[in-house]
Amino acid sequence: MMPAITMGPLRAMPRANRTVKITGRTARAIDVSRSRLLVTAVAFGLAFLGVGVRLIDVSLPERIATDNRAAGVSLSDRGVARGSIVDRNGTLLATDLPGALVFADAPLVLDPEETADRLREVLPELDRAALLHRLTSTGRKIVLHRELTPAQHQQILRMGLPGIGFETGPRRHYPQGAVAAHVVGFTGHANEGRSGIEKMFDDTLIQDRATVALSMDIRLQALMRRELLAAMEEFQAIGAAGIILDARTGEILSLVSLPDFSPYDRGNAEPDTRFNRASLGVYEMGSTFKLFTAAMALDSGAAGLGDGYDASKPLRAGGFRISDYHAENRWLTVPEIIKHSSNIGSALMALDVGPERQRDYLRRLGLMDRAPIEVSEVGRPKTPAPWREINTMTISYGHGMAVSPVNLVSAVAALVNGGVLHPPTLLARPAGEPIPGTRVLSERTSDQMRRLMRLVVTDGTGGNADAEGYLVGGKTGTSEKILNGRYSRSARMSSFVAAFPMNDPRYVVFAMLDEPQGNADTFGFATGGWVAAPVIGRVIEQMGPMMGVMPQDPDSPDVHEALDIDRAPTGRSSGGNSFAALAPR
Amino acid sequence: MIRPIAIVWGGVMAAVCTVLFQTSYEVGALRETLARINEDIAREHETIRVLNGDWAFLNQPDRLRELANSYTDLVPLTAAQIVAGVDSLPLRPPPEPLDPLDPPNADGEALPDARPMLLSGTIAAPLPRQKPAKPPRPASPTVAAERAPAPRPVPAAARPASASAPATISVAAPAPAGRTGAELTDAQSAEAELVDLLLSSFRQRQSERSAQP
Repeated sequence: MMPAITMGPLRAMPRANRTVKITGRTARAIDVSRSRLLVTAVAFGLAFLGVGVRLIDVSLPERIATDNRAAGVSLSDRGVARGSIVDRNGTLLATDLPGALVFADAPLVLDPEETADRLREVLPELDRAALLHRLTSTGRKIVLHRELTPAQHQQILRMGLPGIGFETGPRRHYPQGAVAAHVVGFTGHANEGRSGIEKMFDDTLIQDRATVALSMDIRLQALMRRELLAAMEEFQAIGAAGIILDARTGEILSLVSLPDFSPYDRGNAEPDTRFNRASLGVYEMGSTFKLFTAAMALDSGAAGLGDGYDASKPLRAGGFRISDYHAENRWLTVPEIIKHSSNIGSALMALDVGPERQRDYLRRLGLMDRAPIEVSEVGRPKTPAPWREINTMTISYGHGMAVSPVNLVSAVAALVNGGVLHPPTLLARPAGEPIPGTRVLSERTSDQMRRLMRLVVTDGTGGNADAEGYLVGGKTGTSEKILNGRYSRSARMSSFVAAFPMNDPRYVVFAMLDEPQGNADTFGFATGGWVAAPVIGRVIEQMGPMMGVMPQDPDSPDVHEALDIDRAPTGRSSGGNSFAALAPR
Repeated sequence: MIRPIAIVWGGVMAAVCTVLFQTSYEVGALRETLARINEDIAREHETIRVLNGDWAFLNQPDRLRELANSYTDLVPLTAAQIVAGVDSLPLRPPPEPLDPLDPPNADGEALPDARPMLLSGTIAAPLPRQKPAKPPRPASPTVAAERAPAPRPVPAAARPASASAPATISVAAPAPAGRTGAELTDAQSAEAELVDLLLSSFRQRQSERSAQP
């Protein structure tokens, strides 16, 4: 019966009347074993619970979250450290491509001599002595070559040289080479923008990996560069600059500075090649400034198209003597002053305008401030202080004040496009957005300026710029460079600024040669009309069809109506009213 | 001592475990596939970038110019060569509607129009000679319509040199002389009839084709 008695309290007995009461030692023993069982059960239960939780934890697709974190960069951006730079048509100017660099872990190199020789089988450009010196040093990561081609990478990899390692990653590539080097700029080894657009848009390119679309058209850029190179060679110039600007939007379609550099070889590039003559260089522009003088005289009412000035003898003022290069020695009307590029006439015209108004107009035309283009290499114009009457006279024909070619071109665009200054830009203007611009001259003045500029090409100093059918108008400019503090007769900046088609200008084209030498073809002349104007003519001839500009018959009645100087609205503007009316209230 | 409820719970647990492990492995496999596909996509993107770079490099304007100079006789367009802009060219006339029964053949040989044609005076001209008894027809063209379903053009039908050929033409549309309005109505109704015929035959051929296995 004993087992029944001990089991009794643990199990519910079916018959209640047979209840047995246990007391004493046995009862205590049962209590102890009960609590021990409970503790053990809880312990095991917790353990199994832990196993179960862990089981679910392991089994559930929990790693998806971590995967997403790893793929924080979108698939198309893997292996890209910077966004691309493209031109207005989407042609790549700069992009990241996978590449490899090779480095040496010097202490691990077993046989420096053999290693150096074998490396030079693949990379013959490495200097053996220098390589040996580096391989025997103690450096742990000596970069030997940064731009391995995939083939070179494979070859060195196959050699299995101890202590030679690779690092793959994005490398910056410039498919257009030197053609757009000054605008696009380049990056340093730490992937940071060092110049040009690469520097200005470092944040956008790196953080958003966004593509930056420039206003530049690489076809025009290559065209301008090619013609400038040819002219540089022909006239043995030491440098050149060229710009093509959309007169209606201020977009820069081409910006060339020569000599230029390869963005792959920037380390070895001469400082002169890195200098951007088109935007960083500021120059006394010479006679092209006469356009601004005429414009401000006509716009302010200081002079009318029919007014004349005495250019019969050189002008003396404050110890200076102003004379004409193409001296006519007679009274000249305003169109004749522009046509013959008379310094005397311009100076007299500027005196009529007065220093105050001259400065105001130049400021309005953006010629007193840095051009607001999107590269860091932009020169600040140099202006005289104080601004005396003699400065007014010399500035009227482009001496005594220096501006960058970008300054000049955007101001000329405002002269011809109806009088609105659009800030020049290197970025493509988004379609459909309003184009910023401020009115600086009246429509009427702009109309007169178009006729004057056309006159220079048809009858004046700019005949060499005429591209048949494209109604080119423009102005020559030749200035003497200042060498050792005085103007030099032999070192010149010869330039030409043009617009076409002149009856409804779409593009402004500028070319400048630094220290050109005349040759037999130019009868020894090296002035703007002889060396820069032909470049303009050839560029316009080729870009016309490219840009869909229809050639027009220069003798058609419409063209005569729009461009003949004797059909221009004559007389004075009403005493500077147009200017006053334009002033902000 | 195992009771039925424990067996049931054990079964459920085994089932859950099986399903869980299976799902887990499936997810693992899928994840691997996903990673591989992503890798492929990234590599494709990289390839595209390289190709784009290559394309830009090969299309450098100066390079293209050199190639054009050495392999072609092309020179830059001059203003004198431009006569008119694209805008000033007349638009191409709208194309004739295609005949469902008679598509342009693969050889590129132009097939004649299947619609009824107006017979020009010259084609109709021999008629008077065949029937000298009748007075010469007026200058207005005779209208004839092919009623045969085969869209053979009129010149082909007129070609047979047999004496009955002109009769065939005139049978098709026995044109009363001089009634231009009536002739046009005739031609229009003939055309409508022909289109009906062609369409029904086309539909029939279509249904036959779709009935075939």
